[in-house]
Amino acid sequence: MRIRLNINGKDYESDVEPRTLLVDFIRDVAGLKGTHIGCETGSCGACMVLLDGKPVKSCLMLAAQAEGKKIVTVEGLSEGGKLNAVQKSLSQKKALQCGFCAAGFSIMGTWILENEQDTDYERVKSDLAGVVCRCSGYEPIINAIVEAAKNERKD
Amino acid sequence: MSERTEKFFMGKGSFVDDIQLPNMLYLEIVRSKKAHAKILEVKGGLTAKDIPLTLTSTGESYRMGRNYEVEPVFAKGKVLYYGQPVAAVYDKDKYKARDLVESVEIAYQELKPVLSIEESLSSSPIHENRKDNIVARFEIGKRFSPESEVKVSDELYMERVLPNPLETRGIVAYYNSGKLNVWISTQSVYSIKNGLSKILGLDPAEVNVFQADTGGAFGSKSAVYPEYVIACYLSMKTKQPVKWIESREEHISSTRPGRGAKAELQLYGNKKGKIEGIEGKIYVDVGAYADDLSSTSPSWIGYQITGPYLIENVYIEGYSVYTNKSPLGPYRGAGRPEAAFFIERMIDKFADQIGMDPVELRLKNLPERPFQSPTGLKVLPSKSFFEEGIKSINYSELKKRNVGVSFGILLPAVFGGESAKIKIDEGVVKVWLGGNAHWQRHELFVKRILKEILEVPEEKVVLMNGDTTELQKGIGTWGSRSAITAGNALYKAAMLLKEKAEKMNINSVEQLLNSDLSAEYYENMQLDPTMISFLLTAAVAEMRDGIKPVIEEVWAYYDVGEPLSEEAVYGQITGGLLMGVQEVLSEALIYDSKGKPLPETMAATGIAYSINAPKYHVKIKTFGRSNTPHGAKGVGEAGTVGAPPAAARAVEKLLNKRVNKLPLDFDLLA
Amino acid sequence: MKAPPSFDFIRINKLNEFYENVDRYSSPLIISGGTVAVLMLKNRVIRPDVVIDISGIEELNVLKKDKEKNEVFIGSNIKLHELKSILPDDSASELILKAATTVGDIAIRSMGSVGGNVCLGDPGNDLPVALAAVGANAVVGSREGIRTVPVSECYVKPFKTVLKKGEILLGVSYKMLYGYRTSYNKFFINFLDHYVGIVAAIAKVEGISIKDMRMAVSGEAIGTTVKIDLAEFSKIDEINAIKDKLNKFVNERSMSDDRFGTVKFKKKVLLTLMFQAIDEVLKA
Repeated sequence: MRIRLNINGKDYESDVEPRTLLVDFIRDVAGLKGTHIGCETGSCGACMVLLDGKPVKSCLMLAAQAEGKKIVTVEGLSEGGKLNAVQKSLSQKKALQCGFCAAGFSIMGTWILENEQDTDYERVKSDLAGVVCRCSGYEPIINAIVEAAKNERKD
Repeated sequence: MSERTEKFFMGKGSFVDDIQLPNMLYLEIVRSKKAHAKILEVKGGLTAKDIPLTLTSTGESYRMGRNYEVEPVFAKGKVLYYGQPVAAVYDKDKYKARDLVESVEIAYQELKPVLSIEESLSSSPIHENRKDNIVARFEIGKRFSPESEVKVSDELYMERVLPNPLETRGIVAYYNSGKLNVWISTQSVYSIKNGLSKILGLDPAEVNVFQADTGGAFGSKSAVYPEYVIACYLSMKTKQPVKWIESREEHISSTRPGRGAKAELQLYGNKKGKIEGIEGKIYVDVGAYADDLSSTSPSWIGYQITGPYLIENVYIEGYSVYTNKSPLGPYRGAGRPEAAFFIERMIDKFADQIGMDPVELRLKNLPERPFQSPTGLKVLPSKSFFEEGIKSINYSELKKRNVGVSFGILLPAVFGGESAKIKIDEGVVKVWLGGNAHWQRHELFVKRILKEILEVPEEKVVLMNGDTTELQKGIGTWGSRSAITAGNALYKAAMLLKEKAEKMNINSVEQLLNSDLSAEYYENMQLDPTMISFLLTAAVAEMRDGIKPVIEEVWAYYDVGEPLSEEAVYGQITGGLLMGVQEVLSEALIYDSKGKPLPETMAATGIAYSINAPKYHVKIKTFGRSNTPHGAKGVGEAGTVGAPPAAARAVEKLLNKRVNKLPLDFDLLA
Repeated sequence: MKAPPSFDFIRINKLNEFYENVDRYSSPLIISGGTVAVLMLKNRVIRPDVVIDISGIEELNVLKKDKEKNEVFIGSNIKLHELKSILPDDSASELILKAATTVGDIAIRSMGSVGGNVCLGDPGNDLPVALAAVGANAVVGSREGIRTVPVSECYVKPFKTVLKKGEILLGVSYKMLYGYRTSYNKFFINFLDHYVGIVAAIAKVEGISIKDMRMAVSGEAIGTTVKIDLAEFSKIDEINAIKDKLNKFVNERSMSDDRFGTVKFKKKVLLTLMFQAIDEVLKA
């Protein structure tokens, strides 16, 4: 079937099987490789994208379900080669180790900054509950997002 | 800023699944759905008839000359574990390749599976050519006749645990113009190159291995696996690039888990708390096939059973045994956590039995002078380190809560040494390490060493992924070894480069960056007691919702030698601590009565999420430098060594019930 | 790799179109959010000939408050995360919201729909327990018309509901309750990613009289959502008798030792959660 998806403000159209998963459309049709496949069952969040501003796990959706919606992937968070506040903080604080989780934490972190009233340590810790990091024990990542939120508030 | 992280945010990473080549074929493996069965017939797909090859021992487990059963690439005649490769299918469309898996028909005649160490010892051999299920037997230390006042006995068990890196295993193989080119997610391009060339019978000069960005490993990406051989074979046959990406389900059934160790121990001592001896048996369940690392695991655990302590009498019998489970591999710590869990849990029991504070008892048993254990392990005196640590964590206050404390050592796997290469290329200092990063912050120590010796600014230094065409010889990244071994090689390569520069009258950094100098260095190394770090870990447990035990806070007071970068070390420690804590509470690979893994998803393996993270209190200490130019010690596995015994003790205090089995048996709560 | 088997895909925007289409296929799968249904497709445990996406049916994407009947209707297509901003502030809604905010993680709540959570029949699902406790009805549509079934009677066994082929869950409806105290507790274990027990309770207490009290339980220990009748108790000083009844209820359930724990452990978990719930809803 013909599917057209709007990803990072750009339309991608292709003839794909109805069973095509959203994550495969993003990676293989749109060629955006920053969204990863970690667990295939919604356990890990490596495939996280924003769908009409809401974080979703793109391995648990069919591409066809996303038609007519606005998708933002990790690549769409930075503008003109400039990282957004969460990404800058994760990078400066060297919070990530292996980096395979980069999409998950920056999508979730960005959503937190834009949607949460409170962005203290406990709130961020609980909001990140659907994204797995096997390297860091989470604390460096939580701190980086809390810090990014603080800096945003100052501005 | 970390340019590596930035790359991932821009979607410019190059993980193995991101690699796309023209005419690529997607490989899928058809796996056994039985843990133990005769294969009556296989219809369809590539099978053992097409690829009648057997793996060789490589990577972390490379020590030759033992007699054990090695895994074939495809099951031959019998399947011996659930998830064992039986056939392979491929297609140019990845969904079609998945569909083809269902077209392969396998007829089995089921046999009774052997699923525990106890069953292994009492069952007929799963390998018909052997007389029993024992892989190897070891004697560690020396027999002694105990005449002690106090005898403490217990049986301890650490369940199997999956490495579960966020990125699963994967490979792209492309045989082109007489060369086999391999892109792979790995801890060692050399282990892969050596293994593949040996197994496939190729001249090593024909095999190039390039490390793709590697999304974690924790032990799972050091060895050569059947799928790698199949992918290479298929590319050699079709002359097309072949990609295989492991699913999480396959990771659970077929990637090598760690632990799976049992101990029956007796600890002897006097009523004043002096430990006089330890004896008993250590068993390791190696699964259906063995390699050097798994078969010798009981002896490696026994070797370090005395930890930092002075224990004059040690006699351990070690057995590695076959079961109908996936073959065992290293998991973060690989034997070190097992040894620490066994001795530390015995010491807590000893303290309880004689009514002494367990920390006081531990301090009492540390050596005053360098000590050589009957197992051969040499440790330096550490009393002042642990005394300081106990003060630092404020133990006298913590004691009022449900606290567990462990003392430990971290033996780095320096054996084999390491290599490094520096090449200045158009103003950029490129570095390759024999132990390729994945990505434990090697880049931080690399930048620091080069800044110190060559004075080049950090932003001009780029740590490259592993590449056998750039650096021919190397070992790998595992066993808390990189800071010591790769750090040493890089330090000396930098010194060589500096000498070259001086000879050429290069006096400024600018001139150096404009040159095209390069230097390469390799050195073998032996374990030296100065390289062993000391670890003090504490954990506090609390009850949540009236019934659920959680680890609320964790303290780590860790000796890392001269830290190459505190930032790098910190995340390694907290990461290891969480894995260690979770191993106590819920993380495990457990099988059903037919030998099928119970967890079907990554979450179901019991891994920790952000909400499970305790509050960390980490102190990074230097208790002497290692005998290397830069003074570093290991750190990668510190948390997984220290946390389990501390957390287990904390839960034991909370429940007032003995915890001798991991993960926690929830029946203890009933 | 996990990939779904092949199927047709149709998106439906009108309820009558759904009824027209659903009969043309032999094994249709209805999805709104995706999540678990897509996972089941990837696991190939279901092999539908068509996947019908109903997320565009606006009639199912509404929350209706009927002031006369004092009733709320939540359409199947409402996403779990939306409930927070649209539910009224009565006590029944409060309990439902407590359940909804503990489903999965933020992403799963953004994707998952009310209909999906109610229809799946997984003993770990949250909404059924809260809905059963407040006495909600499932509103089921088909070509023949609309029928309602109490949510507490929807579940036959794990992953099996009373919904028949050709039927669609239009939503759930319940009476608004005021001045009640609510409690929602569950016991999660990371290993096997499961809830051993889930308990929802709601009660109205005036002085020492219990005017109304309801409870429902679910989780792997019990296998499916079950409502517990507590109408016989009218005084808060009967708390020991209430606990005796709960004890009896738990002890009479048939359970077995399995991957989720021993019977002894499961009973302990259920009773701990139930007693906690009673203490919370009856406390002054």
